[in-house]
Amino acid sequence: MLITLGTWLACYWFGWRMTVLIPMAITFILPERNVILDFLFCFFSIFIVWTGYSYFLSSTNHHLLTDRMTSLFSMSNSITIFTITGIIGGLIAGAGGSTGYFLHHFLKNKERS
Amino acid sequence: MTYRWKFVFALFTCLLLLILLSTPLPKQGLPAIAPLLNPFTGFWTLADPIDASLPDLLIPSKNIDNNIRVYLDDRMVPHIYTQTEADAFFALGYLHGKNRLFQMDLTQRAITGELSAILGPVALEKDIFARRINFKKAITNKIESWKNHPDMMILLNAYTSGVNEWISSMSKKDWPLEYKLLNCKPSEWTVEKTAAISISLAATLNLNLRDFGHTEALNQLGDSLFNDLFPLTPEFYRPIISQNWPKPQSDLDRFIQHSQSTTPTTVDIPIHDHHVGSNNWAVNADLTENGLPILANDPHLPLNLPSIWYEVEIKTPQMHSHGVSIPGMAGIIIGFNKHVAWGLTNTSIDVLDSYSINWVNKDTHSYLLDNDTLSASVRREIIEVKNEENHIEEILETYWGPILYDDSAGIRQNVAVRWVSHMVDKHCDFRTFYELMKAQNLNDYQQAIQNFYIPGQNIIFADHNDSIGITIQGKFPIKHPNRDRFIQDGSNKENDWSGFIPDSLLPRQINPPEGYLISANEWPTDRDYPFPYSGHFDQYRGRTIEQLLLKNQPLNLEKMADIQNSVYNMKAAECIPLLVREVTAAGMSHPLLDSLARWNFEYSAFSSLPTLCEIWLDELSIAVFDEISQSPISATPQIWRLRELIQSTPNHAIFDIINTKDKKENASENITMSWQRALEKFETIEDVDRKWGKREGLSIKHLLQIPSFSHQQLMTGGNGNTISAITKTNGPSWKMIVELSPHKTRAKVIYPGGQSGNPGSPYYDNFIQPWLSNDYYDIELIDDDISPSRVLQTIEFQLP
Repeated sequence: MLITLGTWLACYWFGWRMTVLIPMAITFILPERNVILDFLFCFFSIFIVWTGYSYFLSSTNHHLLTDRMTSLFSMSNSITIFTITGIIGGLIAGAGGSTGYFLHHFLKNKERS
Repeated sequence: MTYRWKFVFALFTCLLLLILLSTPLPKQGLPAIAPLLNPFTGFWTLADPIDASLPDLLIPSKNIDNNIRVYLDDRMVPHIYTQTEADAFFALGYLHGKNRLFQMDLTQRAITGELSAILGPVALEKDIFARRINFKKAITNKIESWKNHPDMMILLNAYTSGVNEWISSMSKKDWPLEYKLLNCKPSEWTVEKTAAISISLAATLNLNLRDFGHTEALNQLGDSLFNDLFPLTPEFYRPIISQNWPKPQSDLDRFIQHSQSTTPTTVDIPIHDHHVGSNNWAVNADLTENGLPILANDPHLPLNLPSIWYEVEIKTPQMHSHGVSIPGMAGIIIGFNKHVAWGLTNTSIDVLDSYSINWVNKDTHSYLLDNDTLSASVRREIIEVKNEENHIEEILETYWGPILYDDSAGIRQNVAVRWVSHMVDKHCDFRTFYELMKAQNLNDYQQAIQNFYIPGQNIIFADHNDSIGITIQGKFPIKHPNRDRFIQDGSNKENDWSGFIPDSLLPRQINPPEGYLISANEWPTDRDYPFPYSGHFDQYRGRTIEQLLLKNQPLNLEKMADIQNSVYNMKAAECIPLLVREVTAAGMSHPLLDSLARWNFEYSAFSSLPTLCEIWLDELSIAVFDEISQSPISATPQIWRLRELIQSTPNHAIFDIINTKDKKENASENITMSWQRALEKFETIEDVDRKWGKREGLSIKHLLQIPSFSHQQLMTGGNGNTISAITKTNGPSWKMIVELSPHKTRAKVIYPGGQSGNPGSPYYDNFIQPWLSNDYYDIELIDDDISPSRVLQTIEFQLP
């Protein structure tokens, strides 16, 4: 929830590259048990943000532009473009989340030593 | 692996992913994927809500004189209300920028030769042409002329400032979709860019290189045959203006002789031919049902999305006008106000001449002119090409103008061109539209149009006092009427222009006794006009309009709309009965011949007879003009000349087929042979594909030719010879009919597009369907009391 909301708000005001920074910050502060969990959490949280928000924008437009873009990229249907949008966001967030997780543990180990 | 290295690896992956997803892949034709697909600044943000009123905007601005109010109505047409004229143009600039920024940028780039910078090597040829012909010089000239009119410069600067107000307020999510797809960014607007848009209009309408095609035809036919096939005028035609002409003061004798002197040459140059045309007409109160004058105009231009036009109403204490503007240009170009209405068609008078250069030494750029040896200067143009190295083009400038094509490829000619836009002029064409927006009567119209010079236009006018008028307005060189149709000898100054037709002697007609005025790109004058000219003129549309105006009296707005949408083809009506008679006389019969004989010559979308007719006329042209029809660049005689020859001299040498050496064919044999070929061709076409609209239907393409942003292969009727002159790419780009009343002026308008340039907006193409069905919008001028139910959005600019 925190990742989803935080990233949406940050991206809305500061641009899409926040998709990498917010998950990184959150997993740095609150890491999960392992990096796979952090990656998956971040991936799916942002998959939801990117797909959900693009779907919301598209639906108020009755998918007029989505259909035109789907056709422009020779995609079979608009589900593909929403899915790709989500995956791109998810991958960026997942990579950011993993980085935050490792940064957390790297600094923690450094403190200990 | 320690956490340190895991962290470094993850960070590296993160950065790599960001870079990869932010990098376009031009070879695969893919834009940068994350910037495009993210829902915060990517294309999704341009998915404008449908069925929702837009939130009102309050924009603080330091660049205005007073507060400004703009209502966007339910068609997204802005109604601008301001206290000063500068503010009105500021608001227009803002709205153009907000709705059509990419279109404005692309159009000005096409003129400045900077398309390759955003489109890549695919646009390089176009840029080279733009640089070679030196559009930039035309821009500089235009700015110079504007600077002579400081009051106009204030308004042009206000317009520019309005565009830039929008540009500076834009965040990335507001960038037009095309910038996001091309991965480039908008830049500041300037007065020079406005001048480029204005030159773009001149290039579309007045820049033709028919000299090359004529020279090729001359080479193949010889003088005598050429003159026979390409007369300057038909035996019978309806000029725009016919009257007793005043004699010019200057000595024109040496130009009036129809001498023939040409420079035989071979060419390998693409012909730039836009097939643009238009109709306008005005009738006085005597001919109308309501006893009110009516003016109609439909300029035929290449139809694209976004449309070339942007509809607008502007009201200040000094003016109140409604019509269409061109994004990037200040002012209403075609429109009306409470008192007057005005419209434009292209004159088609030739204002570009070509000269072959006689080099003494190409390496030192020296060439002959009369008995002198002159040196051409070198202009070095650096063209930025996206994803590639800059292209450098060296262009030689001669006495006549720039060398359009050099011989670096070994096959191109050394041809220099002189174009009227290369000349400096003291007039300010922007003032014409500004003054027409404010005009109240005939005098104001005459005063306003004196400032218009490029591109030459037939400017028609009507006012509510029942005056109508038309002027062939422009800067028309005085030159040899026949020689100028070819590439001329550039070593002979005799071939130069000897000045321009003086304003006082430009063809004009006011309140003719017959009560109507018509122009449809036909010959501007009868043969007695003292200044000879050549050009590419239409023989049929003007005459069809005249027939329909005479037949449908008393006229009203609805009847005018029917005339404007007529697909009756006078070319077919004059040719087909003649051809059918010849074929029948030769003993041939076929049900399709009977159909053609009974045909009403309507080029309807669902009829297949226009298809058959055009195939037949094409085949006939190929058969008769076999001497030149093999050459891809040669000019071909017009159908009206072919018909004249069939009727007047059926045994003319041109009817002889060159492949049959032992036999001499006549017109009749050509006609029967072409009928057989046409029939064979026609019968190979599937039934459904024979329909005219299916075969020749219009496509309205997006400026970047993106199919899903375009409307392709529409079932449309008409062709270039019908009043509704819809072809595969061109058509009536703005249809306007205005009834002028001292009490309430009414108009009907429509254009094939929409007010928004955003393919994600419901207002991008919402006018296309009504345009196709000939449904017009009824317009009246609105004072500052627009019905709230019609308001889509209110935009207010406020001083801080």
